[in-house]
Amino acid sequence: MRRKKEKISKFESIGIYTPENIVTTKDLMDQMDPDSRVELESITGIKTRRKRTRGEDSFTIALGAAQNCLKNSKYDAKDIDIIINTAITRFKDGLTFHFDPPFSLWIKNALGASNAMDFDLTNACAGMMTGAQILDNMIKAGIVRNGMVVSGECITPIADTAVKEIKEVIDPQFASLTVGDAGGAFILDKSTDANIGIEHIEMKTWAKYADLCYGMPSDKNEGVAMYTDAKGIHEAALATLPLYVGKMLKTVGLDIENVDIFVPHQTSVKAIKKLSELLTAFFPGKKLPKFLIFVDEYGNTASTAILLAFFNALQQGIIKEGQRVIFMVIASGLVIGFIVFVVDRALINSVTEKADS
Amino acid sequence: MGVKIRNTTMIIGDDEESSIDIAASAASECLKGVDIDRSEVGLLLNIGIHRDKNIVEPAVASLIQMKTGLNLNPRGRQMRLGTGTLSFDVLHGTCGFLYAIQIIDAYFKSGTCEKALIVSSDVHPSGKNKPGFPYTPSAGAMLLEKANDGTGFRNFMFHTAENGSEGLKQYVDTMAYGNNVRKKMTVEFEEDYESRLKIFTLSTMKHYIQKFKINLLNINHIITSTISNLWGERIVNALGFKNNKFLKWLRDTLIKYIFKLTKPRYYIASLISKILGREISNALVLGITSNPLVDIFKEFGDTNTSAPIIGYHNVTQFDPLKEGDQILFISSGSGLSFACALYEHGVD
Repeated sequence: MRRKKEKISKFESIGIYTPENIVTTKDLMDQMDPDSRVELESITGIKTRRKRTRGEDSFTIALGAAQNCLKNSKYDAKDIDIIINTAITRFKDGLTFHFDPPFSLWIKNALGASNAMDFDLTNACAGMMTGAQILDNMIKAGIVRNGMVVSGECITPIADTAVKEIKEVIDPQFASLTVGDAGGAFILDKSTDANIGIEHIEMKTWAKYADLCYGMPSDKNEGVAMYTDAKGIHEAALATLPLYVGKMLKTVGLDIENVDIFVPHQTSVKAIKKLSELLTAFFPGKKLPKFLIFVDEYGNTASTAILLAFFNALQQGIIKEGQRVIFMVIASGLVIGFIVFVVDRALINSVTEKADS
Repeated sequence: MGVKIRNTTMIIGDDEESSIDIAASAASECLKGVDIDRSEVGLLLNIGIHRDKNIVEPAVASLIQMKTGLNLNPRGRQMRLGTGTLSFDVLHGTCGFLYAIQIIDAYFKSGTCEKALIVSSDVHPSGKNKPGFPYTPSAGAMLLEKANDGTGFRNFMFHTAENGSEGLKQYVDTMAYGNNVRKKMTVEFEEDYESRLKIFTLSTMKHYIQKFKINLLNINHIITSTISNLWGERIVNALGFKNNKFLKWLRDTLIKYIFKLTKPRYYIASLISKILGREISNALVLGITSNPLVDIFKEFGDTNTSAPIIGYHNVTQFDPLKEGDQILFISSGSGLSFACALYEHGVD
């Protein structure tokens, strides 16, 4: 079914915050029991990650990203109609994890967004992109004129636990060693140009695979941990993705060659390259989009990973005006989805002309 | 176009319970009761804030979706736009229900899907009902679908306090419980929480009534949060409703001396409804008098995020709504937070 969708909302501004503290993969391995160490960098391609320092937590990281987003925006805080916090981690005042009231309320009040409604949304690494779909739908429905989706991931505590607890080379906490801390925020508003904006968003939960990754407190020590059947998740995701990409493109009336940039969720260099190979095989003879890879520098920053990669690519001039981008969501749940949009000059200017973190 | 309620379920849990299992049971029961194409349930939103073992990933909604068996592996035709389910958690304390409805409203209006499920559950993360944990282990599920006749939910208002303390905080200090972090959480009430929340709620309700020109005489039922055993009554009395003392006495007397068991009480109440009329029946089942308050605290205690679903379920279980009946959902909670919406029942 071919379907030409009206572009209603667009990315108006983006903001990023990354802690200054850089930890190399070698530094991390040196903290582990020598018998438990693995060739993490050669397996995953991850060389460095950012890690919070004293005084930093999910709240400070989220607030940093939100403030940078507003600096890059034409809007002031009081103009924002809704703030959606989408982080997995909600640490504030150190490593205290909050459930009630919602984090979004603290972020909203700290920003001075007194006219915004707010709520928290949890959807693993798909959080920010789920927030994008909700906000896009709210703008389409006329419920809001604009909104901010923000995420502050203070996720390296799971790496701290993994370093302590991993005893064997094959361990369900292995994926915890790949994470890094980062905050991201974007504002969507109504597009006034029919050629600019979000063309399509879709996301589904393949709940058959919901129990392949758990983030929860450790049962051996204080702190939090993540337990992943990484092989299971990759097999499930990679088995589904090529067909789903094909169906999605058909739905929106696009060919793979109409897409310039793929921004997949950033888990490892190897996984992204594998995905690229599978799509090359699925679309024989076609020129594939460029795949963005920033996981080698930042690690897997959970719900902020896609936005962080996109922001860096904009800043570095990798993405040009008028190019079509697909954000490819792959997250625990198992959530798979896409956001398809065309980049405009205003968004590039907002990121390249103004300060980021 | 609006959001209308198709079906609801509620469960009061045992002293040992799983928040995921109880929510999935409620969801399964809710879906079993209706004849729909399940591939069309496009959203499953979990609004419960407590979760087994303090799980933070994946979304608890996806684990509930898995246990419910809803669109587990969308392939083939379920990869089509508008089919298959996206599940995620929506968190805003006791106000979460109305935020979830607002999200669903946006999805329906934009054509992303036409059916959605809200689930809620509040159980201590240890799975055991701990002394001092203020909430009744409970769950609710509500199936929503698109309303094309202008009925359903409308007149949403969301408001939070800009200043002052939160009143209530629920958190897990991940570095303070040794290796028991999965089994513990802290629920911290400030002493003046309820009194501040009442002032906040009533001042915001005044704006709500003015903004949407609400005629309270047209409201058939009011469902509030279950902050305390007197909360609902205080809110509704402050809005101008007064108890009918005779009906209150009749209800209290019958419950005390005759209706000791739940099930016979409902059947007898349903029979009485046919003989004496709806108002007396409602008074017997739930203690609603000419006052429209749906007082579920008396029977079930503090059901936290499930209160709106449980309230609606109890209103409609044995006495269906008529076309044009109006329900006001008034939610209040930590932050301080307020959410309110009007529900109008359409043609069945």
